[in-house]
Amino acid sequence: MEATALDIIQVAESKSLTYQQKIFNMANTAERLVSPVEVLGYTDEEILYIHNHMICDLNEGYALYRPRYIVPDYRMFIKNGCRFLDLKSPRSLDELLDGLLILYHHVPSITSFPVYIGDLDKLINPFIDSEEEAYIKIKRFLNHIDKTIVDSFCHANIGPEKTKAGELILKAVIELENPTPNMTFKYNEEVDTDFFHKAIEACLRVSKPSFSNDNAYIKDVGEHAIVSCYNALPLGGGAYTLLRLRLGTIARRTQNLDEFINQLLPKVSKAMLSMIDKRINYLVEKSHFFETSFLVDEGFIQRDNFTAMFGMVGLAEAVNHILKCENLEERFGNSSRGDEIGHIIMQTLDKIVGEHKGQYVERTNNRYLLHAQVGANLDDEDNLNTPAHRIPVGDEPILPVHLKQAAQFHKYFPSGTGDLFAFDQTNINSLEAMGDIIKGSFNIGFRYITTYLQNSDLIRVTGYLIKRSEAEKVGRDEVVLRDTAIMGFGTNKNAKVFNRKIRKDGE
Amino acid sequence: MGNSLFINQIIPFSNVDGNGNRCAIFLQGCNLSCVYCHNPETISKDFNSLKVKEYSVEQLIDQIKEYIPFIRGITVSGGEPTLQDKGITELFLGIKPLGLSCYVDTNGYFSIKDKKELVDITDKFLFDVKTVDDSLKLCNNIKATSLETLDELLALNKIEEVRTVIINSYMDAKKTVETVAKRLVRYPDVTYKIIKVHKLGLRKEQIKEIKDFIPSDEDVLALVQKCKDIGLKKVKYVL
Repeated sequence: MEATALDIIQVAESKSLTYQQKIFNMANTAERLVSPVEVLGYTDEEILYIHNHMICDLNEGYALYRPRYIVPDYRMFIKNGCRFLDLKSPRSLDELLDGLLILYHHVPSITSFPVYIGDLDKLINPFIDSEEEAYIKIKRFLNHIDKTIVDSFCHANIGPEKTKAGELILKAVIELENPTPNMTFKYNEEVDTDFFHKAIEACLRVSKPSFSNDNAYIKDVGEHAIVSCYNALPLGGGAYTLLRLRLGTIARRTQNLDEFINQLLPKVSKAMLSMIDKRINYLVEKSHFFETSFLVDEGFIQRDNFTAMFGMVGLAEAVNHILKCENLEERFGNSSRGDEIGHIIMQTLDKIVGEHKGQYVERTNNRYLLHAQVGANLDDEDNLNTPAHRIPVGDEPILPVHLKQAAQFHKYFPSGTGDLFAFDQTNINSLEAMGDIIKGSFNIGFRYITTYLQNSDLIRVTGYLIKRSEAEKVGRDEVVLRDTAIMGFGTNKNAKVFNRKIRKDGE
Repeated sequence: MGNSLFINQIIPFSNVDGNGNRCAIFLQGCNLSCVYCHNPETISKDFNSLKVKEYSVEQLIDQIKEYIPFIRGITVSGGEPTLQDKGITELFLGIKPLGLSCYVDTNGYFSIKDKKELVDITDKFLFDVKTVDDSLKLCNNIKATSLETLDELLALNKIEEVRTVIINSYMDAKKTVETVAKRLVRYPDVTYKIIKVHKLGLRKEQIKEIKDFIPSDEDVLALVQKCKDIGLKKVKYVL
């Protein structure tokens, strides 16, 4: 959405933003002050869909100067050090951790903070000598990240192999109880049971790590990392840009499934594909990012490892609208006709996106990747579009039914989707049982799953972590450290994520 | 074949009825009436009550199949499930080929030779030892002890966990715990869980009966320590 000069004044005069948040917002405003028609060549139709909220561009900006998500291969730092930053290849744990912290400062993204900080256990493990000392350093390193990368889309990966480093990281995240970094445990069937259980315990206590279906993502994306909320993107590459369809908003403009599927949805989708094309072209050809970034020059990333995401939200609302049009009293999540409609919608999108030859996305077969998006709070329409393909909070069926209903849609989203489930305190005593649920979910097609305890302060919003207490401060207009707390407050207002159903006894 | 089961409740996912995630099925009817029973509504053998639902074994299997990707087995509890042993045996026969383990949660007041088919097909029992003395006062049941049944099941390697609820005066807690612990030493894979009596789920009359007989945490922990001193490796407790 375009910005105006008034936005600049509002940022300057805001009483509830930190200095860093003001800088970021000023820069973002500037990016959106220019006309997308002039700079990117958006057509009137394309602009219309942004103005009528059918397409959400997440305020990404029109004078693009860096890719949305960058996924550096930090192993290059261990191998070669970093010439640009005058850092030698690390020879000790101190040099590694210090070097990584320095590097992180120089990894751009849409949030201005790195969205991927490495497969930490694999990077760290070869440098461990004394376990006790390593633990203190790892804990300090993680806390440093939380206090300087003040955005919990910053994401670390661990697993699937068990390592001493992985175990120390899990121990530290439980003790620190920090929202950042976000974390994923890459799961496969060979994982060490004890390591898996430690990860589950951490997930229950501090809402991380979440679990990704490693083999499923390797199949669809190749060598990858889990970044930002739960995106699976090529390692040593990333994603140029992302736009998303508000399916609920689009569906509400139609009277029946046929009109939606065969007329309006393809129209809006093609417009969105065209905008993604234009954005990538500008980024690659006009912004010179890939010619000037040391990350490219030194092999941390390569231009031809980048892809782009075709996102969506609000499948539930689109389906519920169509069900109403068909005079059915059912709702998405508890309706087999609803599931059927959901599949028709996703298959339509799959086809449209699959047939479009994308710009500069050789790495993913010249195609953009479908992505199921987390919540946002940029517009009133975000109230009316549940994240991804999730069942709206309040409509959730009992857990086994919910898991199976959700699993059937995961296959459509090679670059990421995820579901989250709140459990109560007693589950801490039975990590085996949680393991059964997680394993079972992956066996029926889940790509990504996370759980948390409903009564912890640290809660997972729609794909990132916040402290409930911090979000409450936002509610009182107080300044908070992390911009994701501000997002989380808004998303709770829209999607009531603080009040997800607690899954006791499989309810 | 063609048995029915009379069921009070089905819990799709339980993590306290045997290891892992299990579907727990609570059958109606018990041969005891323990003073501290925390699901007293399952005691009555009146199957016509509104709360009780009759399922054919086939219906039950269909419902359990819904939970299959996520559970490692099923556990029948109650009440005292062995009272409906024919139905359970048929249920287990249908469930096992699906790759699920079949557990029974029992008070042990049954004779193995009378329930041979059930015992054969059950993978593991979760066994409540209420008391090793006369159980009239505690459970309103004259039969002496369940120890013989416990011994036989242990010898068949069919016990996963033994539990004892600790309450003052109604039982000799020390004697019960020691007696059981001495047996379990020979079976190091079996867990002994010692549970302090609590008031959750109890009716008003029950609370009145037991409120003056709740042991202290220290007393319960002392019993746990006793088990460890006797040589048990797998002891758990709930305070």
